[in-house]
Amino acid sequence: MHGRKRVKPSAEVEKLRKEKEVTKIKEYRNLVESYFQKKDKKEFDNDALALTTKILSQNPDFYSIWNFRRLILLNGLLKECSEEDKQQTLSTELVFLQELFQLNPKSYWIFNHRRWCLETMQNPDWDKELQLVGKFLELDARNFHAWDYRRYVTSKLSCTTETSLTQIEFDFTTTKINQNFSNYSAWHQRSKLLPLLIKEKNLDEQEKKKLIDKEFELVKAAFYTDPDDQSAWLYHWWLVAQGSIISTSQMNEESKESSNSLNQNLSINTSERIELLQREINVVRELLELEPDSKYCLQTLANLLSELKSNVKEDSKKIDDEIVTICDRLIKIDKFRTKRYEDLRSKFISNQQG
Amino acid sequence: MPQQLEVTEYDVIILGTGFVESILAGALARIGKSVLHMDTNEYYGGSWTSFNFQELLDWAQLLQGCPYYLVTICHVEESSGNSQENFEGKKALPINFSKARRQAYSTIEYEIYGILKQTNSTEENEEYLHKDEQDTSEETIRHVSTSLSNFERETLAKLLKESKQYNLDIAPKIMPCRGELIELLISSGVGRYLEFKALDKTYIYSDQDTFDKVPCSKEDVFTSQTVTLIDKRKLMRFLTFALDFTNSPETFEGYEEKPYEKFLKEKFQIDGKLLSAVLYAITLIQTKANDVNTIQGLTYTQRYLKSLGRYGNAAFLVALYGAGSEISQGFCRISAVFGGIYMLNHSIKHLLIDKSSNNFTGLIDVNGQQLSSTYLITSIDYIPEKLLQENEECEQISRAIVIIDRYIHEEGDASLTIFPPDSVGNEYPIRVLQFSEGTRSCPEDKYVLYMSTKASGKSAKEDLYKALEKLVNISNDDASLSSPLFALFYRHKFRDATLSSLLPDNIIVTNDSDSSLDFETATIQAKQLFEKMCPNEEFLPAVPDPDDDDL
Repeated sequence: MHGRKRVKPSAEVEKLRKEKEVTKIKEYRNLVESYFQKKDKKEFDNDALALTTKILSQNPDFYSIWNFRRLILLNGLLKECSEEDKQQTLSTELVFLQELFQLNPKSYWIFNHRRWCLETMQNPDWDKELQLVGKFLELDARNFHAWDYRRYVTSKLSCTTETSLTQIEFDFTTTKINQNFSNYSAWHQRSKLLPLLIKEKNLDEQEKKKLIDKEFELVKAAFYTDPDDQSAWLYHWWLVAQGSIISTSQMNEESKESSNSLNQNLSINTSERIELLQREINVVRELLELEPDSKYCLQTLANLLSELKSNVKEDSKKIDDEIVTICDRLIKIDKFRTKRYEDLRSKFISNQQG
Repeated sequence: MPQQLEVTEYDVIILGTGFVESILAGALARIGKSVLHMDTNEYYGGSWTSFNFQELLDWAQLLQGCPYYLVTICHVEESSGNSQENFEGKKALPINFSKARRQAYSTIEYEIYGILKQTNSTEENEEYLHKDEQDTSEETIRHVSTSLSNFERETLAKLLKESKQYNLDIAPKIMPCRGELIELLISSGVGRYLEFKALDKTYIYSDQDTFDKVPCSKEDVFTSQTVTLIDKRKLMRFLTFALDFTNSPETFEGYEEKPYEKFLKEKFQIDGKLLSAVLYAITLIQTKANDVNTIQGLTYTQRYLKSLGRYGNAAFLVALYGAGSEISQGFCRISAVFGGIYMLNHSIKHLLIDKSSNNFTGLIDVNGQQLSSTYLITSIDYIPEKLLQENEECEQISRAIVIIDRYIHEEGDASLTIFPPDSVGNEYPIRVLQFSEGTRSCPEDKYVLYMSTKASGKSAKEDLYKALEKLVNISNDDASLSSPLFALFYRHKFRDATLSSLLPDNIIVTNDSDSSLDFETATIQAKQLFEKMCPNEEFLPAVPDPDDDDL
């Protein structure tokens, strides 16, 4: 049943379609017109509700209509009713929203209204919501609305059940990344979960290092597979930066404890940092040998080298030279961002002169 | 009173309901030709058919020379010995279908393996044997099992009991997700009659007795634990290039006629295990690596890569209920919808050839009725010996059908396993398809292995046995492997009758199934034959869909 070519409609069919469209537009305009009348008169009756249903089914992005719909519900069906009836009314709303999702799975307002319904009802079924959003991400793993909604649902779920979903959610991102790692949302979700995981599991230094190294392995496999995919590189940058934040915060805590050992601690942390930077520099250099024109690879190398320079005293001139060479190459291969690279380059040229 | 046809003159008579003949039957009826389609067998599919277990066993025994009254299928009426040489002033050439069939196959051996594992209680086993005493398969057991041990007899009884749940292809083939056949199935509407499962896992055997999962798509390359980082990059670079190789001719300039292997090594530094995977599991080379040049190699690789992503992460589809027979029937159905007349289980006695023009004019069927047509399309089995110049050098394919009790590698509907040349003493690559109940090839708790390779040794069993030993627990008592229950080894010829100069111009002969894994060459042959016969007609145009009210 797949792959059939669509036959170009004949002029007659096209004319018929146009006519149909004209009547459709006219109908829609009439609906919107009666909405304004109802709104001005503050008529929160069943007719008004039916009217919003009609309009939203055609255009779920008309956010004023959603606001009006909530007013109708609050002043009508939900006013002075039993909790049972309330639950029933809002469940019907959820069914309506589910139908609308099929028309547009990426509408802010449908998600917004859904949140409102769930928070207004007494017994929201968050498990069901998690299943729903799982289905969403099955259909389109890169729908960032769905990822955002997933974070919302899991936070509600872990509140009500008082159990942490961090590991499960972390594994969920692994699954999605394995299916297709070109997914900014999934990497982003991972970056949200990793610090939580470390905190919740109360990992010691060694376990933490092991976990983070595993992340480096994963993202390395991704950019070796496709160096042109930016999403993996962004996660790599985040991971590298994360390392520096973690070690700095530790340093501060320790410095409060004992000022005597500050120098010692600082040197240990700096040396660890340098070790990490050098390791990643080698990884990127190795890839660069195979892909000399990969712009993300070059950008990453420049970033890493520039941070290395601020951590080591020796080789500063050599590092400057290398960054300048990288910038020259980037200016050639990434024409849209030449000014940015020229700016970066100027910093290291002036350093040289200074 | 024998069945007589009212209409005795047709545009085309087609003999054999094999894959190519069936496509042609559909295509010709579709453009309004009158088609009479006959098959001596009582089933569709000819040498592309699928059998249930009992039928397969009977078929194997028949080919081994067992008299036909001992088996339940293939009641072929042999041509009477007193061949008429003349019929109403024409040459009447006798057809010897069953002899031709037998000669196409050789080195047929089958084995039944006893169930050694004492998993079932003895009570249950006895029950099996007891039940089967009243069963119709009793005859078969008695005939086959004179030399079998009790354990083996038990296996046979179980297989026969579930016989009808098997759809075993005698020329098993799969379909690329992008290619000639699938486009034809979609455009002609024949795809509506069929169901498919995805074949999305390929394994390659390497030394040290391991099977590596072959990474094909970007996702596979990313997640593969066996491919090093550097190899991930090399492989992806190559795959990206190959998908669109015609747009960067400078990359393969100078390598066009040189071996593909050389190109991969020199231009992409692909070597070792990775090279083997690219050559045999992605490019699916059927011969030795040196026989394939860069252009051919890139074309095959590209075809594979283009097939990915259309139906999930799979390059191939498997037709349910036995591919060859089901797809053939689909095209026959289109033919019948457009007026094609079908007669199965109907033997042909003679072909009639005009003495002066040396053209085919008609044939005489088993009832002595004369049927005539402008064209004859036929599988090679119906060609009278006198018109054939058999090519002694024709390609032969060694095959095995093995029923096992547990999956190999991983669970799933279908998988492909490749043994590269020389990995188990084999001259040519050995390909192993594993089908499960999901493909409707076998019952729930069984799996079917279809093994094939170009013939090189003395027999099919010799060509394939060592590979089988690596896959199942056949002789080395490795309990971690699955156990075989039944294995049939056979060889068949790939006869190319188009080479015979003795054939009248209006007899069109279709080829046997070849050693390729898919239906592509056969589909192309069908299309070419059609275009030769009807140069200005459309090949299987879409059938108007009565449900299509898309306005």
